[in-house]
Amino acid sequence: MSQQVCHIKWNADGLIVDGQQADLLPHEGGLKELLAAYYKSLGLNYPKFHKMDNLSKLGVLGVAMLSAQYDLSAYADDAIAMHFQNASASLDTDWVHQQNINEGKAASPANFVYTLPNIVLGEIAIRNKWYGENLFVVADSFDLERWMKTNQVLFDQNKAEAVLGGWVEVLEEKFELELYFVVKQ
Amino acid sequence: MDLKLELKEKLIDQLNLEEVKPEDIKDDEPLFGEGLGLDSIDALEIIVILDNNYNIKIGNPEEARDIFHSINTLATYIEANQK
Amino acid sequence: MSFIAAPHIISPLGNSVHENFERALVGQSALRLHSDHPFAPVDIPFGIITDHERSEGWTKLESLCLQSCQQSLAQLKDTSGKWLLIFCTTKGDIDRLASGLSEEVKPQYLVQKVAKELPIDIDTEVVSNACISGLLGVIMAHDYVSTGVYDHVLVLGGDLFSDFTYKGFESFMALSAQACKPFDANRDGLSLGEAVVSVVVSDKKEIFSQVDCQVLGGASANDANHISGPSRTGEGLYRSIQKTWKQTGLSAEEVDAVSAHGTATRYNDDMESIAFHRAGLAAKPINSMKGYFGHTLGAAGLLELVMSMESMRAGIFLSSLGCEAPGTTEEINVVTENTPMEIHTLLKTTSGFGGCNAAAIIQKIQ
Repeated sequence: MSQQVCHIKWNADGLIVDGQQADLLPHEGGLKELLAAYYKSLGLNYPKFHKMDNLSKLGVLGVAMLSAQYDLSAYADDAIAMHFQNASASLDTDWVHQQNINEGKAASPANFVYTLPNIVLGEIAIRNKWYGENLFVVADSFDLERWMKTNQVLFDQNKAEAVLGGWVEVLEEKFELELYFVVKQ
Repeated sequence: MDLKLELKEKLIDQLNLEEVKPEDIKDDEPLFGEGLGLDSIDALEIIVILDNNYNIKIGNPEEARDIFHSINTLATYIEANQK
Repeated sequence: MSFIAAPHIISPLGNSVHENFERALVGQSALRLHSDHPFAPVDIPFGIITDHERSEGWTKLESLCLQSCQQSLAQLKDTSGKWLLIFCTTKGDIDRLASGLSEEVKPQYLVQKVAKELPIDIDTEVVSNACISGLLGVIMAHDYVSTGVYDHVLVLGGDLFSDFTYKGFESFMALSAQACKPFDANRDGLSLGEAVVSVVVSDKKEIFSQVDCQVLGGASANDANHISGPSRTGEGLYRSIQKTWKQTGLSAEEVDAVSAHGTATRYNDDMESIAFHRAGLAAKPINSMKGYFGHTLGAAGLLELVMSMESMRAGIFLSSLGCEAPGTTEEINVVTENTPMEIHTLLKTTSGFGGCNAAAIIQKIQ
């Protein structure tokens, strides 16, 4: 069995952390600027953040909010599995790379490296020094029950003490984060 | 514009060094590792910057190591090789 | 424990496991120059499938995925039970993106389209975890059937050579101008290839008409170090191997051979040598199959696992084609000639961007 101990839901309508709803931070511009506003308000001091694509930024910020809410430091460095899903994989960044190709411009290596959806897991792992299990699944929509079923498999197979993840979706200006921390019982 | 200042502004812009200002980058300070803390992806991106802006082609990241040491070495290389 | 069988491979080397293995045995490589390809540069070898059948209204990848799944299912005696199809891919049909964002470019569109044509009711799932996707799919399949979530899992791996990935790897300066030389002292980059592979993982031995191997278990781990640069300590790969020992109750001594990732980039192969050394595997026969197929990205782990299953059946460990004089940070036992040997227990490893690594053990059934 397992228990959900923390939940964050974040989209254009607002931010809900463990049931506490808040309006989005004021910001000029689009998603990039919104994420920058949260970076600043969380006081992250992590210059690498600015190199990330929006998908990775969204995931890294969500995990920073979650770990401010719930102490994750008690877990061994490989006890937390990361299991994320989304609908658009890395298409938001893929599209930038594809436009360079379409326009005959040189590809940007710093952009290309984000053309895989699991890079967000890597960025979260690097920032938190987590060496646990990795799984990125692409699906049409977030099926919480099915996501939990796979987490239970990881628990039953003794692969993790907890699962961090959920839904992390970005396409153009649309974004949706639904982040859970689930503990094995 | 002074080439060194131009390079600093280009690096800050293209490498997304949002919290860095041109005056924070010393001309002789290492760009990689300690110092500015750039990494292997930044090195590849600088190769693209040199190609796009100065028409300089670097075929292999290994040979870039000495050229990319600092703003000084980078500027010297560009002045000697710009077409 | 789970059984793994009913494999199929479609690659430039052939359209069956048998064809692929026989051609690899005589040292044939899929990597060659393509003078008439729409975007491949003429002077760099790639492993591109040029001879294939394509259904009306289906892309090349969709067609090959369906054909491979059908070939796997055709090898079963009984298809009753609860099924899952896991599609393992990095980029799916990404070249569709050239004409704009669409539903069709998404890998879930492809796998759902394929699943509808199969003669069984089957759930679908897409694992997109960089170059460990194929092996991670097998590990998940093993975990799903071991815990009874599904009775059988059809694992499908597929990635094609695309303008998208070619231009990206070019900007990464990761491509060799020649056919890649995994673990060779003079290796200078990877070669891109393509393959579509499928296999069935089930805890019911009786569904297979022929079954030689079982999956004992596997694990994944992150380097927590860099999103594209391999770890200097091989941390994630080392940890994924350690976790695999824990999953399977085995240790390095019990492994007969290692099918490594071996992409032939300088840093990746050095990283693997360090991880294998740390894991006590330096003396074990190790190969990379990238010289036969190139790097087939999300399909690679599955392709090399299936080829290894055939190796175990035939009793021949394949040479690391392209490797003439091994040279890595730590000395490891890279096999450079086809070697007749009894392979009872084999460790398969993969590593990918995002710092991800996976390892799994398969064993011959006595």
